[in-house]
Amino acid sequence: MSRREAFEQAVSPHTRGLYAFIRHLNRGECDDIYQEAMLAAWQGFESLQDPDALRPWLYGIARRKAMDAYRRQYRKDAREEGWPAELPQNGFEGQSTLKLDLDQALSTLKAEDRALLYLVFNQGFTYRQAGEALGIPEGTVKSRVYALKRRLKLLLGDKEETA
Amino acid sequence: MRDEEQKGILMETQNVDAAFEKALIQALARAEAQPPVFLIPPEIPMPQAFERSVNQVSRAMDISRSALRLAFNFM
Repeated sequence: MSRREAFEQAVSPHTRGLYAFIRHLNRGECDDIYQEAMLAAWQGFESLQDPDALRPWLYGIARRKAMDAYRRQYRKDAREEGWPAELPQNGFEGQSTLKLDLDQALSTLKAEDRALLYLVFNQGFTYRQAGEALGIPEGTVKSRVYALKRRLKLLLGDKEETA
Repeated sequence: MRDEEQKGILMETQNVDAAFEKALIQALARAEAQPPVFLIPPEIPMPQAFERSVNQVSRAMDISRSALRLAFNFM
């Protein structure tokens, strides 16, 4: 099997999830980030020793590329307008007492937090794998997931959580 | 009776939690879409003469670095 075939076979089951993860991180530039991440994965594919590490490795590359895109955007905005770029949203900050629907509640979270929830709940990542992908310790992942769930429930007006 | 009440409350809490997680998964999945096609870049073989030149330049740079280091040590 050629290197190209091996890469396609290994990576193709993850592309949809990877793209959604990137969309959670940065919807505006998701296509460019996806292409950059895939190119970096292709270039580094041979150095990957453990096939089980592929998924966190891929998502880790995507996260770094998304961070690079944020930095580029931040510098560009600062240069052009003298004002920092808007960091991943917090548009509903201060409305925690209102009952919001889940989409709205999710939009109040930081992009990285939404991406973390996507990895854990939709992609079935363990806390350890999610930590590897996002570059944070396993314990932090665990506590952050708990805190995020609690925050979402609060925003949704869950009486039990507010009590 | 009290145990049964507690069990009932626990089950209800678990159901609420499961329903919440299910809704969360659905909401997060709304970001899913068909990714753009990634075309693996073609590999252009490097001509042997070019590869030799690159090696020579890199060797020359190594020698220059060593020479500079040596010179600084004498200073």
